[in-house]
Amino acid sequence: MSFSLAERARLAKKRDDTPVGAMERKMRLLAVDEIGVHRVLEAPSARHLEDLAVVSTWGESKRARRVVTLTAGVDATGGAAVDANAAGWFAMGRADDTVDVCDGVTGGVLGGGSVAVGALPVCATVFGPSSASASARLITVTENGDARVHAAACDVHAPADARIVGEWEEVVSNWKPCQSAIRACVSEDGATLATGGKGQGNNLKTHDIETQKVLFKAKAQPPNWLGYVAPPWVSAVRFLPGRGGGDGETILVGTGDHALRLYDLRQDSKRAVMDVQCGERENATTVMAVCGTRDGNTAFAADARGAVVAMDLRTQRSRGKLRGNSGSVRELALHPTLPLVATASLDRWIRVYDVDTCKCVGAGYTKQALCSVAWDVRGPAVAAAAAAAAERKKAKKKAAREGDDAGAEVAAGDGGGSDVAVKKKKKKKKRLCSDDDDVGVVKKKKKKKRAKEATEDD
Amino acid sequence: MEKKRTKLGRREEERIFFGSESNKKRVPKTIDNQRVKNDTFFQENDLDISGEIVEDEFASYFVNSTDPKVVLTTSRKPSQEMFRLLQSIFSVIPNAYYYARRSYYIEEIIRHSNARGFTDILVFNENRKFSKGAKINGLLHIHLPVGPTCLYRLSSLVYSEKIRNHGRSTTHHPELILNNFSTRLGHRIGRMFASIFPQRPEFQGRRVVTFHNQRDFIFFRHHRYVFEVRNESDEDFLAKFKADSLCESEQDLVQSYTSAELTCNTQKNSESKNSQRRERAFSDAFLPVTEIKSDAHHQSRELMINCKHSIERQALRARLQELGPRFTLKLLSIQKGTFNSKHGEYEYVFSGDAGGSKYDRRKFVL
Repeated sequence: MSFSLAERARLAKKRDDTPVGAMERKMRLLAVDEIGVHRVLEAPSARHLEDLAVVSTWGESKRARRVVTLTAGVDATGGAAVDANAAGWFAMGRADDTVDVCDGVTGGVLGGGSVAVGALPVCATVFGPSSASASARLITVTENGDARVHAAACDVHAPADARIVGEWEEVVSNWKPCQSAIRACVSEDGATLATGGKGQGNNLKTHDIETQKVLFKAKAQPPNWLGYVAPPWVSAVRFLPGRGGGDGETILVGTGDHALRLYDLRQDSKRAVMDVQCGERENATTVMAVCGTRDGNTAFAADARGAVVAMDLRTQRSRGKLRGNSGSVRELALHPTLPLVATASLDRWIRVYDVDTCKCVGAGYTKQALCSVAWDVRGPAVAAAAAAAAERKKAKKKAAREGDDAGAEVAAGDGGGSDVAVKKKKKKKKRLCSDDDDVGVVKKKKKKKRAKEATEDD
Repeated sequence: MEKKRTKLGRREEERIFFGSESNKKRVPKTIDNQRVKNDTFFQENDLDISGEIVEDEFASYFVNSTDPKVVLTTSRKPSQEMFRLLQSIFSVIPNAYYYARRSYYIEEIIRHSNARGFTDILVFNENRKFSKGAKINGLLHIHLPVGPTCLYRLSSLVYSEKIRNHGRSTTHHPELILNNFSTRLGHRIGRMFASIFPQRPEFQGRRVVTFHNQRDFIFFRHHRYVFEVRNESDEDFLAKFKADSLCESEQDLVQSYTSAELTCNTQKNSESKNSQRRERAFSDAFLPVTEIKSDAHHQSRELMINCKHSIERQALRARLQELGPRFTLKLLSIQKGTFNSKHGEYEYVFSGDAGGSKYDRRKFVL
């Protein structure tokens, strides 16, 4: 199915309504690969993602230390110690059974080096100090179902790369949320842990991290016409961000037998409220990654052959495909504020897609088979605060120049100098990929025409 | 008409003798030489890439710590044709062992091969069973113990016996030529091919196996070569050359020169018809070795420039004899790890969607 013109116009408008300067901010992605090297990819702004390129490389190449999971840290300082140079943190689980917390600007390991977790980590998430706790928390889950929480003392007034002053100390241990895990995920507020694995007893479960109590246990899907119930095989888990105003309440699950499921924790039923098959029957493989958009209307599911489907959660039908990947897509990363989703693929490309149009808007070649990707927006709280600061500055300037109609453009730069607010509303540019790279985007005349109509409608 | 032809002929002669720049033949535009270059191309001295190469699945082969040991097997219920192919494959790959497929799953074969220290499995596939028209159409190459797995479409298969004036292969370890594998993916495939053959070629065998990539099709050829020093008179050579004014590019020059030389040779020795035919086959043969080619060309050019003055000279010639079989491979997928078609992770899948060639015919992946 495709969207109506009115719907498209609405979506286009939504993108223009994103926070001031968000479209002009420098786009930064962190990609990790099979030889344990991490790379930073940058594009000048969201409008120029076709210029996405690797700008720096960190770490030494060592296959034994390859990165298996990567999560952008959540800095829940709530605007307490905001400065423009603050950077995001990244938690990366490595194949040598350790977890590193890295700084997003220098790539330096924070908190006194790697944290040993005893087995292959499947999930590692770091949270900054919040009102609840003054220390940073690191939540890890390993392959054999062990979950741990580490904490490190923080100096909230220091810049991000020096904010963690203590060393990581185990706070919660001997906690086994499941027998074996393939994927796990922590909700954005850091309160809920979702785990899933292969085999009986390893279906989706959520736990309260504070009390380590089970909150939800998914029931198997109803038997099919043969009376057969497939054993659980959760190969991808992700919380749907902020749906219905709350976190940790809806969970997307991809399975080894190419199903995409949606669990709603608010409902009484322990079964999935949505269960659809991804891809064509003959080519369908394991779902490697899932992610949902912020409005809760679209979910993406990527499989081991490089096919990524966009599923409309309202109609439970496919809305389109993210085309261009020729190898297994291992991670889908949704941009925290903009309608963009990045894919990390075994074919060594990072590709960025527009969520609304499903078109590839940028691609960067990283030379190595990739394991994961994350957006570096310097932590959502910091970014929001920076945007607010820019807004205030802009308002101040506007007040100063009141009565003077000469200023058509006002630039409000932050400390990094990457944030430029454009007052004059630009006519929406249609973003197309550059012709030369491998993104495989077709310029179909029909679609072009339709998009044009949509902009006119706008 | 007559006049024009002679004029052209003279220009051609001038070009050959003096290497005149003004009359240089223009290189025709082909899809191959207009290929779009992009970031995926392999770059020399790239630290990123060398970091991967020292630790990839083929690293142990390239540091000489493992010797290739190959399992050859077929799809279920192989036909007579299949055994004909296997016979010739045996002459190509040293240290290969045939195991009947019976009704084993590939996963089982992998398990058993791993236990017996094999490094590669080659599974040839046939499309039709129980019939005369069975056609070999696929090749599955699994590198052990941890992959990767490549699936190829196999086409244009010509058995050794069908190749005119083919030779018989010796048991020497062959030399290997991997041509035009220019991207990162191409290099990976190249390394995988290399790891089937022993690392140290036995040069006295003068046996060479070629994997030549052209527009994402990989041509497999198997030859024996020889370098010969010959004495030869100019008149014969020149007479032949004038008659054969069709030579176009530099490559043709070498080939036609070779054929000219061969004809001279046979005339001189007045050998039997049979040997003449053999010689012609040599000259028609595909010339895969760039070194040989450029060397021969250089020599022939030098000789041609000097031949106005000298009467009798010595020349080093390269000749080839095809041993067979020959076939063409098209990469369909590379899968990470050993064979698992249902749940395996793919590094590359050939598809209209992602492949460059559908939207731009000048884009290739290997």
